[in-house]
Parts: sequence; structure tokens; C-alpha cells
Amino acid sequence: MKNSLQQKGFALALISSFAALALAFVGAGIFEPAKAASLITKNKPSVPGQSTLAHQGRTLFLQNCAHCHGEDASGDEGPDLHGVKKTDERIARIITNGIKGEMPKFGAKFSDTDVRALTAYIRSLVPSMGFSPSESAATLRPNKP
Amino acid sequence: MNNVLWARMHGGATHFPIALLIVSVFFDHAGFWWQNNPRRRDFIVVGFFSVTIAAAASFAAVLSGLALSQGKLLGTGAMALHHGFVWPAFSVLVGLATWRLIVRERATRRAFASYLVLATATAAAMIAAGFWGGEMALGR
Repeated sequence: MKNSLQQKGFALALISSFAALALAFVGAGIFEPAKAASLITKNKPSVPGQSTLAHQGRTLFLQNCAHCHGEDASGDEGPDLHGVKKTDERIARIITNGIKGEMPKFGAKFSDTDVRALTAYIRSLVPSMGFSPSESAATLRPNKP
Repeated sequence: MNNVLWARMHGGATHFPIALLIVSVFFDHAGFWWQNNPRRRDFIVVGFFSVTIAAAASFAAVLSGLALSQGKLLGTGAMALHHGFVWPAFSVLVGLATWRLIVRERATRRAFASYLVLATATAAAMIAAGFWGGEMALGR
């Protein structure tokens, strides 16, 4: 009697586990921004050279910052980091001390080299001009005399 | 809804299932190992209600988290680690609560021992998920 009840309980537990996961997956679909919007990327992911400081910065960025600033640093919960108009010192200070109520501080987590690497990566991000390649080619063509 | 609101909701909602699951595991262990204690049955009852409420509360935590991350099931870096622990813990927690609801106090000692092993592992996974969630939210 006890065994059959436990087996029934086990079967239902298994079903409810999968149902909970399925619900989470459905929920993810609901909260995901429109696919179409994600296809129009504002900025192409910037991948600096393998050996540069900026490349180390990118690795750190993906591990610690991408969940707020987006994988391509074009902003998500946090702001777009392309073309940041702040000095390197100011960027380093924000990473180290954070912004109250907006961004956590990473001073104890990152070494000075890490902060320099992250700053170099942010500096390597080229701002988006917001036009298509064909338009950009037309814009960049020199004017005829 | 504003992301800051989701962040606060998630921060509030996640602590209930984490704390309640730890409490449940603690009291279930007390009930399991402390067999001659007159309060043994009370310990098991506390464990039962704690795990049931933890499972119910985990839905609020998961939904607010999905809203906060805009539907990301894995993500990158700290978020991937957070989700790597969240999904197994959430799924097993719901299963454990379902099993407890059906079996109640009629579990054999061997089955309850297996339950305890799984519940302890789930609590550990939940703590790990909380740790990586904290890493994301607070930095260091």
C-alpha cells in the first residue's frame, strides 16, 4: 500500500517537475522581447584581437557585465556602452565604485589590471551610426567637384 | 513594467523559497535523525509546510526573474551560472513538494531518506543560485 502510494507520488513528482520547467520556458517566451526587434542589432559585437588588453576586457565583460549591458554592449537593463563620452579614469571609477541604486561596485572583485582591461574594451566599442551599409557607402563617397 | 520594479520584486520573491527550503531540510533532518524525540512529528510537519510553501513561492521568484532578464533562460557569465543552478533547483523543488503532498506522513523510512538526500542537494543548488544572483545584483 505504502509502496504504491510512493510510486504514484514519484510519478506525479516527475510530471510536476517537467511541467514546472515547461511553464518557465513558456514564461521565457512571453517575456522575451519581439524576435524581430532582436534581429535589428544596433551594434555589431566588437571582438578585439586575441592578445590585446581589450580582449581580456571582453572576457571579463561577458562574465560580469553582459547580463545588464547586453552581450554586444548595446544596452539592456544598463546603458549602451558604444561611444561612451567619459574619460578612462571616470570609467574606471564607475566600475570600481558603481553608481548608487543603478550599478553594483566591482572594486573588490576586479584588480587594477581587470579595470584597465574593461576600460580598454569599452573604449574599443565603436558607436553605431544608425544607417545601413549601402547608405554608409553613399555617405562616405567623396563629393564630386 | 519598469526593470527596477522587477529587480526589487525578484530580490524579494527569491528569498522566500531559499529560506523556506533550508528550514524544511533542517527540520526534516531533525525529524529523521532524532527518532526518540517527542517533537519528531512536529519537525516533520514543519518540514512539510515549509517545502510546500517554498515550491509555491518559487513560481513568483521564477516569473519575476524571467521578466527581469527579459526571458533569458541561460544568458552569459554570472547569469549563466545563476540559471545553471536555478532551473534544476526549481524543477526538483516542485517535484519534491508534489511528492510530499501526495505521500504526506506515509513515506517509508528508506523513501524519506532518499527524499532528504535530494532535498539537501536542491537546497545546496538553491543557495548556489542565490550566490550567483547576488554576484549579479551586488558585485563586490
